[in-house]
Amino acid sequence: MKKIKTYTEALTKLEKTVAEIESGELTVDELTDKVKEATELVNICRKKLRSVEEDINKSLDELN
Amino acid sequence: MSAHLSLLELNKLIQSTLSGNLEPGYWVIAEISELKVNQNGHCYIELVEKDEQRVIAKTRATIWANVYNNLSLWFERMTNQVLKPGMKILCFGSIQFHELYGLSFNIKDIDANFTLGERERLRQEVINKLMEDGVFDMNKELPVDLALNRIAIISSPAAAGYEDFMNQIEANEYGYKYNIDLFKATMQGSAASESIINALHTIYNSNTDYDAVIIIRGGGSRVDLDCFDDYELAFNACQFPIPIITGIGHERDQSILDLVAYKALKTPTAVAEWVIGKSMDVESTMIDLMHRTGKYVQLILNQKRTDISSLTNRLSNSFKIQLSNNDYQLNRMCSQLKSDVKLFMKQAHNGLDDYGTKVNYLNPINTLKRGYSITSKNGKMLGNEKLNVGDIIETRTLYSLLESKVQKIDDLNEED
Repeated sequence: MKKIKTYTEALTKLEKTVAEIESGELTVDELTDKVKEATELVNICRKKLRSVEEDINKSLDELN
Repeated sequence: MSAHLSLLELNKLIQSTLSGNLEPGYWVIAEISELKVNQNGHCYIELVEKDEQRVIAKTRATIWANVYNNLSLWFERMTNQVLKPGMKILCFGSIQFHELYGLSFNIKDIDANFTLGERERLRQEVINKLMEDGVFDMNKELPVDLALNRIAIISSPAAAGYEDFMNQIEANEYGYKYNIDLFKATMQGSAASESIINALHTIYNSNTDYDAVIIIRGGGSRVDLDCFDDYELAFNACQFPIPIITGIGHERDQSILDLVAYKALKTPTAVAEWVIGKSMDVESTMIDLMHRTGKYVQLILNQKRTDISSLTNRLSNSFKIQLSNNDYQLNRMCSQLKSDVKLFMKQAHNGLDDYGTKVNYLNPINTLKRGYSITSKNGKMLGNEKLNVGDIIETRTLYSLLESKVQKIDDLNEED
């Protein structure tokens, strides 16, 4: 999997992967790979979201 | 030759007839028309009585030196006047008839009170005439500058009074300067009235804008001030367009010139003090005005300072209110932002969680773990495609991959 840089990129790819899985047209092997990929993407998204959340909280704290 | 008398006999007869019939003395009212004092000190007078201007009686009179010396001094002291032509007197004397010198009235006493009363009567006449002319108060009613600067003086330059006045004015301790012009005039005797009137005319014709005319006299004889009671002089002074101030130096009551003048003072020194006093009044008024102005300016300044400080306070309060408004808005926006962010993050998390759940749910391993298996034919998972007996299929369980041959097919005909 090529390097994902942004949250939006990861999310778009996640949506696409989930849609592929849901289509039911994958082979078992493909399915396994796709699920693995989707799980990774979810983790990437979570990580990025957490990092964004931290940044935002830090900035908001500076407001007070 | 008829009976006759010699002239001497006739005169002696007159003399004896007179002395036999006349009282030793009479009080007589008469006007002096001529008066001479000879080198022996005897005074020779011509007495007249007039009806209007016409002489209706005339007599020679004498005051012998022994009487005249005392009588004239006493009369002067009492009336402040010398015996002179034009004066009406009440005198006591006796008729003497000398065979060589003829009839003469020998004066032994003069009633000074009569002359004073007579003088007062004449003065009153002049005053009444000025009143009738409507000029009496004219000079008094002139407007006078608050302070006098250009001053015309009518005086005799040699008079001690003039010197007193100038000394007083020039030595004033306040340093006031005056522009003073002297107009010379005779200040006593019969020529004084005309001389002063001429001086007034000269002042008028000079076209100089004098603030006042000061008429001063002083020193010298205290007698013979009748010139200042003269009608013509008073008449001119009344109507003079510049205020007249007198310092004639009367000890007795005021002269008519004093009465009609704008201001009458006893002495030249008093006039100088009055002039300086006016300047002082103006200066003190000015100082007072300056102080009042200063105080007023201070008041205004303080008021303005208060205004400015009140404006500053209002401005600062307005700033504070604005700032606090903005602060409030910022805080509100901040809170809004925080809650928005929170919501957004929550939604993002929830979305991700959904994906996570979905991915987990879709993960075939989990299905296999629950005891299900996945069947595929030629690598492709079985959906609704038909299988035939004898087809080779692959079955994936959690831990095994089975290959089977279809031996029997029962259609389940599940509708849903």
